[in-house]
Amino acid sequence: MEDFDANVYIMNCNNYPLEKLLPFRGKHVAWSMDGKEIVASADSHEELAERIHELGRRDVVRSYIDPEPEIASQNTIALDSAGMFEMDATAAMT
Amino acid sequence: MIFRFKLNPTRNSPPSLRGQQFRPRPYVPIGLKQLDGTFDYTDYLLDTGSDDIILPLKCARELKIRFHKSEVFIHSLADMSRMSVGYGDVEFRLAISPFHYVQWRTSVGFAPVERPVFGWAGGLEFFHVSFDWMLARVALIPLASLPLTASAFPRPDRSRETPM
Repeated sequence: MEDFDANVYIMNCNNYPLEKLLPFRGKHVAWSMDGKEIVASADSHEELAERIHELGRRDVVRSYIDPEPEIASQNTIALDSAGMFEMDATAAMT
Repeated sequence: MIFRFKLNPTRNSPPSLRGQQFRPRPYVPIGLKQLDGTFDYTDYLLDTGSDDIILPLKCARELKIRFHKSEVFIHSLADMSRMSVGYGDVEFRLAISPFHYVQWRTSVGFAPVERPVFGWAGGLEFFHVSFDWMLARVALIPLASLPLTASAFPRPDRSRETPM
């Protein structure tokens, strides 16, 4: 961790190929300190800590990869009698 | 200290992004001092809407922080739900490189959250903060009020200066 450069880490994370990132959507991840690879992933912060501990690694940056936003089906938004948009929140969430 | 934004790529780009295939977010890797004196780094979202720095409860367990009754508060959140937050002291390290960092000790909240946020009290209050969405970077300039426990700053390169 001695030679950690935050901007190199961020730049490499930003350049990580989207195709390789897809399996980690919605997951907690541990990046290598240079941001070039994901060394562990889990569904929760707590599980990730356990994985990192199992690997015996301390030289990681814990992070989270946001899930891809889903496009709601056409039925979820409609105009009400006043001509305003109304959203079926339940449908939009599924 | 200037940090680039993290870019979160997206295929389903909502209209607000005007065709852009990523969302820029001010996530900054910050070190949290562990019991053995080393720092574990995590990406913190710089959140000007958060009153406090909030860490997952797991961090309190790792640091063996126990909460007394007077240190637990119930806060209301943006969705009007309520959440118990226990407070304890930690030490942070914000580093741009091994030669340029600041460390400080402060009180933070621990709560049943999955992701940490870096809010005002004990965090952003100690920095001049400037978000630049055009350049996708944030500048954090430590203020004199930052309660430093350690720091390092690069020496200015005076070799190119013309002697007076």
